[in-house]
Amino acid sequence: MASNSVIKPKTQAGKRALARREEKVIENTKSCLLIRGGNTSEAIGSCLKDLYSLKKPHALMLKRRNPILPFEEISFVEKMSRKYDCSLFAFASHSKKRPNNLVLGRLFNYQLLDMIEFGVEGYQPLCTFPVAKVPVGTKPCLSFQGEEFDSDPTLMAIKNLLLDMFQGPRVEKIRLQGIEHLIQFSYCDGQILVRSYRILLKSSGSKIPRVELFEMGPRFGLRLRRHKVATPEQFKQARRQPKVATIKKIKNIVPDDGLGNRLGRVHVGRQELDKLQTRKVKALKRPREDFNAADGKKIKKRRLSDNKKQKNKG
Amino acid sequence: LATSVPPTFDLGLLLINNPNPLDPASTRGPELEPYLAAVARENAQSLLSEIWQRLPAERVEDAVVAPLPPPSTPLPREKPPPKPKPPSRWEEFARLKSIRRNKKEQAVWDEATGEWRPRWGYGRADPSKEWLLEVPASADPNEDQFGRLKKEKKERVAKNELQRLKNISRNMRLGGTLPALSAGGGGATSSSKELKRALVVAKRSDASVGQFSAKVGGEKVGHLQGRRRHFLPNTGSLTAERGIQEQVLKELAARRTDPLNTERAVNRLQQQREQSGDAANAVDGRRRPQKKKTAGKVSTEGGKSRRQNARDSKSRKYKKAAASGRANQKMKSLMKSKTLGKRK
Repeated sequence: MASNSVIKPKTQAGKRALARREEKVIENTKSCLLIRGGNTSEAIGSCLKDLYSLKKPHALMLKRRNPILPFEEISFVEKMSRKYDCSLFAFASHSKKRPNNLVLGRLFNYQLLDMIEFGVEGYQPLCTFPVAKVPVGTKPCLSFQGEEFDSDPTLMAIKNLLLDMFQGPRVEKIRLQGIEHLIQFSYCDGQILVRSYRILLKSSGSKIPRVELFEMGPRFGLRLRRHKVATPEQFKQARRQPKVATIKKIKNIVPDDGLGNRLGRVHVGRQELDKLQTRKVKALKRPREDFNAADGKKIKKRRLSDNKKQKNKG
Repeated sequence: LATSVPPTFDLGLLLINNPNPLDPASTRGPELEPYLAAVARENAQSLLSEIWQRLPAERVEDAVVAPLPPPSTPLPREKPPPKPKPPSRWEEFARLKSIRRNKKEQAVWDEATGEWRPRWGYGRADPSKEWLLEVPASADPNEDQFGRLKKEKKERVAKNELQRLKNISRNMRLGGTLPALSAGGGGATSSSKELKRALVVAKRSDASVGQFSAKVGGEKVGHLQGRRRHFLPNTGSLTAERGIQEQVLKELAARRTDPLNTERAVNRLQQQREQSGDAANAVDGRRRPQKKKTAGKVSTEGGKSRRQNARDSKSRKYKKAAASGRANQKMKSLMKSKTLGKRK
């Protein structure tokens, strides 16, 4: 909480920034930090850029090269994650021993939770697919094909990480026409094949539309290299949810005064009672004396249409 | 694409898990991509059917919308859930005295200008911005009223700041989190006891067991556990030092049941005899110090033989061990013996 810190924020923007970073019951969408290593090949550099495009706006690409080795010294990533408030990271590098290396990882409380190193094979960038891309920030459908994703412990961990990485923003409601993106992960011969498609919903005979897919890219295969997976205890701690989600307090309204009444205060400005706009009741409009005319007759009611007729005549 | 096992769904994540393996025949060669696309299409269709069937569609303005259920796959959080803030000193007091907060109106009637002014923020009636201040009857006529107001405001602000910092420190002491002291990460160690413990552990985790670590204010340095090397002071009583050295030598002597390594001597003697081959080089009964070069032993050009080097280093070692003159003599006498195998 900003109020828990010794230094108080001096500007509203600063206050908002701190409030965004603090621990919350319902958290922000996880941001991904994309880091280039000391050496990158064209393929892996392009792959990282595509990953950035996929994860926008919840992604941040570091501009400079960072000659670090995540599996040996993770402190740099942790520091950057704390600086930029990102809890996912992707690190791309290239060396003779580990060509086209991609490390995907996540952090809990700015400390490493788990990370997995892949070799990227058969990469084809986004731009090579002539299909129109999905709008930024679309929540993708995820599909995992292969029995190993449910049985092999390493692959289960990988699946969890990929889910976290690609799930997109958490929403309460989804616009059904807005389901436009599908990412498919299939396990085949020790490789995880990643394919990304654009969904087109066509009308079918029934209420449920027919799905047509167009591969929009990027396309690559991930071959598992090293991994550092969180222990079950660490994972359990990271998954610990708050017991009761606090109900959002709505200002000025008492939801229940104990008798089942919902009370609130309506702020009306200063009113000039003789100039109030109420419902038009014609009977109240004229002064009462009109009724008792000199000749005892009622004064003829004039209608708006009469005025119009007169106008047209005149 | 015969699906033998039906797929499972997690609609909160728009996820479909299809546990069927890929057809190995189709995954080779140019058929791979069309096959994958076909598989993906099947999966997408199943997922969308599930969404359309299970989730109730609502209409929001001009869009058809479905509420998503919470995800069933457990995913870790970004940060730990927030801890409830302990109440401040005032809040505790108010709770005990059941003092409730009175909601104040934003506008205040300002007598001077004859209009409603906001209580705080832009356009408020700020006494510091007054052009005229009355000197109260009880005050010193030479006192600067404007200065007094400024000073009082400063004091109020400072007091408020102090209270706020006190509350923060109280929160930290009671249940707040200190930065993690262990490399393992996480773990809130907040009590002073745990902090002291962590300090002790950190200190003794170096080679000198915290002997030379700077002392933290208020720290009571006790007996250093696990001290590995005990060094006696360089200065002090000479007799004590001498006594210690003698003790060492006594122990050495007592331990050596055979001051002369009989076996080794015999072997060496035999070698010498074999190498020299004549009686002239026969070793007399006296065992000489190991510095003596054996005749006939062919050594490398110019350099010492390996065995000779070994012997030299050994002699150096013996020299070092003899600290005082007496010790040296004693060593020599130990190594000497009148005849082979006979003890002195």
